[in-house]
Amino acid sequence: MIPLLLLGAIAGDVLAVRAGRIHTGTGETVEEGILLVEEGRIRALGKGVPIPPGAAVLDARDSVVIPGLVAADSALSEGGADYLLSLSPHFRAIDGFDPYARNGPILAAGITTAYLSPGRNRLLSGRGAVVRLAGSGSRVLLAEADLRLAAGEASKRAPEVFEPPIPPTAEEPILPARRQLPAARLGTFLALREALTQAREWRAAHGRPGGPAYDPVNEGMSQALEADLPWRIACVTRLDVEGALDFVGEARVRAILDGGAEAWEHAARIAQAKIPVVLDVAGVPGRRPFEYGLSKDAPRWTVEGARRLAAAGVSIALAPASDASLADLPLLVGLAIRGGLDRGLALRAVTSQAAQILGVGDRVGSLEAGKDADFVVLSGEPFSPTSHALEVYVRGERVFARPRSEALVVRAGTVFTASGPPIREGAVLVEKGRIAAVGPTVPHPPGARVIDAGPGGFVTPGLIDGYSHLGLEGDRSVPAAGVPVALASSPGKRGFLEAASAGVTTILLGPVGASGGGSQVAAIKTGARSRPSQIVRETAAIRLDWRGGDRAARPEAMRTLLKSAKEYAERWDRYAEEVKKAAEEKAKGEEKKEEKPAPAEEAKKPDPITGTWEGTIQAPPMPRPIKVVVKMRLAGTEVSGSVSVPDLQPAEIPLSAGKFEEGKLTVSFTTRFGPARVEATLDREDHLAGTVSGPMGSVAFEMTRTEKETPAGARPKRKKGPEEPPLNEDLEPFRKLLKKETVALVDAGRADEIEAALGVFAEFGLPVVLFGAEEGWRIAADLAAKRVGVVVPAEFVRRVETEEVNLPDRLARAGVPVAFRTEAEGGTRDLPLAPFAAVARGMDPGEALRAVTIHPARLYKIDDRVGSLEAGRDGDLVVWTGDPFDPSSRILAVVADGEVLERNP
Amino acid sequence: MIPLLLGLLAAGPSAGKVAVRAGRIVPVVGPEIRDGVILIEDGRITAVGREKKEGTEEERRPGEPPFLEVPWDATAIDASEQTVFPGMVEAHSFRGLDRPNENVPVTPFVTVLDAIDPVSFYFEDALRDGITTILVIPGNNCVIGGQGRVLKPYGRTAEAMTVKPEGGMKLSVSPKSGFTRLSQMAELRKTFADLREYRERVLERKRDEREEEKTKAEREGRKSEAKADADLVREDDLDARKRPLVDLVEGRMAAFVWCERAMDVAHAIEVARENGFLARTTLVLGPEAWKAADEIKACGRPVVLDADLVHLEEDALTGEEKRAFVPRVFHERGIPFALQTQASTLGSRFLWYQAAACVRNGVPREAALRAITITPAEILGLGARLGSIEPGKDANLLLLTGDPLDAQTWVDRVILEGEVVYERSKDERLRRLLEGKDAPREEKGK
Repeated sequence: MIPLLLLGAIAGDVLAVRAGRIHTGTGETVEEGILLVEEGRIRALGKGVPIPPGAAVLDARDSVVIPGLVAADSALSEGGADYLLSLSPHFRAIDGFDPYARNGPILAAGITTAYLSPGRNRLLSGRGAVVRLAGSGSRVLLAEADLRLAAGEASKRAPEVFEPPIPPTAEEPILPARRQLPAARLGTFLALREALTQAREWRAAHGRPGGPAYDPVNEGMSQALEADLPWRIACVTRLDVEGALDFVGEARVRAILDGGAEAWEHAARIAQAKIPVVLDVAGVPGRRPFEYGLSKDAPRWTVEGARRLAAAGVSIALAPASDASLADLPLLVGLAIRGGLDRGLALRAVTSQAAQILGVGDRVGSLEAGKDADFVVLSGEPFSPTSHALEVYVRGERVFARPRSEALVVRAGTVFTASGPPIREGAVLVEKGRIAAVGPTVPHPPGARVIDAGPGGFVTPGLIDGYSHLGLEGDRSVPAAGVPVALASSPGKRGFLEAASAGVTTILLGPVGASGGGSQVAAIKTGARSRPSQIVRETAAIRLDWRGGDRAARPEAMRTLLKSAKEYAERWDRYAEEVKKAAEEKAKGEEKKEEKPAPAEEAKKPDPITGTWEGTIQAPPMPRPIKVVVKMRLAGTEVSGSVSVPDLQPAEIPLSAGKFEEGKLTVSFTTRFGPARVEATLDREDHLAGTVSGPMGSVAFEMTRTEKETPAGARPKRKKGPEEPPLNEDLEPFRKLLKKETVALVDAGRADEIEAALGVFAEFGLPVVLFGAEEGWRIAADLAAKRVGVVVPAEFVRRVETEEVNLPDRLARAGVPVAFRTEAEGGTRDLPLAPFAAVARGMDPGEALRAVTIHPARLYKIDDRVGSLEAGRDGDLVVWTGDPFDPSSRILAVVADGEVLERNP
Repeated sequence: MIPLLLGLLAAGPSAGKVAVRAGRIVPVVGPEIRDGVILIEDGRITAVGREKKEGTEEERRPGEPPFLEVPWDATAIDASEQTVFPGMVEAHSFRGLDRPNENVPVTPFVTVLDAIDPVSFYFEDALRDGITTILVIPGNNCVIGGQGRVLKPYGRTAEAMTVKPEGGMKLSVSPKSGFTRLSQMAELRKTFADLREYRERVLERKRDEREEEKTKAEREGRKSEAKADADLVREDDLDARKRPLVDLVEGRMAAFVWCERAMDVAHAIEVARENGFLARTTLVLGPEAWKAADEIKACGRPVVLDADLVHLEEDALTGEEKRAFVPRVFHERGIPFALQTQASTLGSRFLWYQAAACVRNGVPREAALRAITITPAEILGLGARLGSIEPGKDANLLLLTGDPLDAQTWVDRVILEGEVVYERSKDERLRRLLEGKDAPREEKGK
């Protein structure tokens, strides 16, 4: 049933294989070649072969294509289990072949053709065959390939044969057990000569009147002689080889030597007789293979022997030794290459030459027009232990496809780790979307996809755009600090994927403009397919404006904002602590109950502020006065509480920085429009008068105390647990900033602005990254000393008076970490041009690359995920054909979260 | 007087006419009949139709079964509440035997007759479960295993049970224990090559004898007594040990070739074709042999399927399990197939269960019913006698309490060649089995 389904694959259509490299098996190699397959055969092969329209294309540009391997020996026929007859030329190995077998592990080794041995350890075990190991058509290539003999010790101890006739009669009596030759080495060739002579005589006389009766041995032998099958003689020692050569010369039969550990000693003679040799490659590494007739210390088949035979002009094939698994053939050949065997020779010895020796060279074993399309797509060079067959084809039909593991190995001449020194001739292993290993060598899991950029190739981390508008779709509004900008991103959008395939795998997404109240900046993956995987950090930075306007007022406004943010954060911290404490107390349970003396003493004493205050405010744009309710509590001189406008905004806005000293009250709070400040005097008991100054200007107000209870007391019965402070979304992001989980991205250009800004943020001990900093070069040393990084403008080269200032270069030389950014949505994909342009104007190439990788990652504190090639980081890589600063270098592949993005053809 | 009486008794009602009134007839070949009647004479079905009810003026419409009149002297069997189904046919079995040959590799001269054990429970169970014809043919573990025999599961001796003595020759292309496929095939080829040479030698000898006779007659001046057909090999010219194989290659004997694996199928076809008996070959398949269905289709021969109807295979690399429902593969290709039972406590020991499993797995009901009746009958060369309820066929009928493929159906009675040979109400062993071994004790307690 399965073969039927696959039939469609060979019918009619053309398959075009685009290979990174093709080894044809005849010694030729075609780089970036194309293999055309039609009706199971190779139609054309070469570089630049035109692909006919409508052809199915197999993209194997990362891979190496070789002919399906030919195993010149195997025990796949059941004849591998031996029989007692010492002479059985009538046995056919093809009878033991299962044409329906799946042969998965053997195909996975890239072997598509195999010789079937009719038995190894008998003098004349039968007739071998050559078969394909997969495919829907007939799998038999040659039903009778040779006559298989064993000349060495293996066949020496032939058992006696007892075959009683059933039932015995006078004509067919029971005879004693029959002895078989050979019983000693001398008998080997004697028995063969005898068998040959007998067969020739029998052939001449049988079927004539009075001629000898039917005899299966003679019949089998004469059929072999009729078909002129070669005699494949297994011989191990020098003596065996000598005997075999003598016999072959005398019997005038075609021959193949098999095993041949010591055949090289007769290399010249073998070459002269034009006898090919099938060499056994030794079995399991670390275990000495067992071989009849060889003493323990005798030299094993040596690579040297293979080389000498080849040098003498003998055609050789390599086959797995009897104790090796057939599927280990590539590994064994690899070991032989390691021992010094020429790579090209080794490949030929398991492809074209092996096929020639087996008599099927006209159909399989090499990739040439007209031959069967039996080929293997390898993840790397053949016989390398890190190479694996990815797909195997027999007559153009895919018969094996390795389940692709998630793993990806990228190899290149230079691995630019960004966080450490570059690695020459290194590799990166990406597993499960993350970098699993980086180094000169990495593990190669079977089935891993391998991208080899070659010795000139270059791997960098996925590039990071230090600030981008991609995804905002032209929206120029500046959202409030509480609005997560990450929502503007949309996974899989065209612009994102374009940026990703240009190598920009992470962007810092923020609004076009800035506001005093701050806006969030998010770190977003461009190549991600879903939102959760897209967001690296929802709030990677808070962008704050410090540019232009009233420069004198700005520090104070920023202080106010930061102060209120700090208080807000502290309240939440306190709350968190209280919650923790409450939980602890609860855990302590009864013990606590005892130590509960009346704590209300302080509360009894009335104070001038604590309580609920009500008043009205008449602000200019408002048509009528609005009622304001303020709840306050005095503790020492500190005032805390909340303000609410019951008609407009029932939510209570927390008060911050409240103080009551010498009858004067100052308190701040943050409105939707900006921070506001109250300054009032307690002019009489329970009456306050003063001004409120906010973003809209200043206005006078009055208010009276309506309740003297504490705000807490006024509230509905407190639950046992601590009270949750009111939430202020616009201050929420600042909590992260105060915890230093995110940074302040301060938009400042002039040197004095920068200095002022740094001063204010230093007061609060907050991390700052400068945005723009056009004049930052003037104070570069100061910035470096303060460890402040700069996201330079998209146009970073400016003419200042007569001087051309390359801002990133100036900053980088002073030791300031620099990040490049883009402008306009379409600009993101051109990010790689920024370092290029900076380098053209004198910047250090390494530093320029770091300015799109590790520097932005560290500045935005996302270097635990992106920006460098280190184990544990996200699997974001850019593979370049050459140095990124070489104009002819292009991007070979982009890997985003371990997935190779589609490449341009 | 006494001889006359005896004569009357011998000709008695059992050997004469029988009429089975059936609530439902499932004839396998042709449409079902409701309230039908089957007329039997001398063990054969003479007519199948409906009985005309007295006083009704019902007319027979074209395509409907004919109205029949039940002869006055027929023994009436009432199955008006039951379903009548042809006796089921098992096309291949090696049970019911006592020490058959599974040892000596090449024994074409051996017949199973000598190994048949008439009192084997297998036959008793077969009858109880509605199997009325069985080919017993051992020798899967041989090269040429000998001849089988077609039996009915009723009778005290092997001879009495025999339906057809020439059951066919068993050959095996799957290796016998101790053999490899290479030696198995070599042995088969050798056997037939020997046979060819033997036949040639017999012919040669006959020709020589004729020539001798001619010269002798000439010398003696008389007419030669040599027969004109001297170059035809006649039965008595042959060694008894060689005769069965000669019958096989000359097309007088059917062949059953055991193919355990798919890879054996091509060999079976090759051996049969080269030796001229492909046209009389049935392939007996192992569970995996379905993979060679296309090759089997091409050779046009029927098959007997393994009792395991599902073939599971695990992919060595992925561990993925592939499942094939074997009868469906053959049905879809239009290859005639017969189902087989196996020794097991439930399920696959019943032919009806095997057919029901086919229906459950997508084989049409009609095809499944054929696979336990007419197809195996045809495989045994008994298609004209068995396998359906049609005039002219042997009256082998099952009177069932329900549909043949229903698990709640019992075989109530079995009619073999017109004679009721099994009645569930009188099935002592079944009663004991169903009641359990405690039943008699309970009785004692009373």
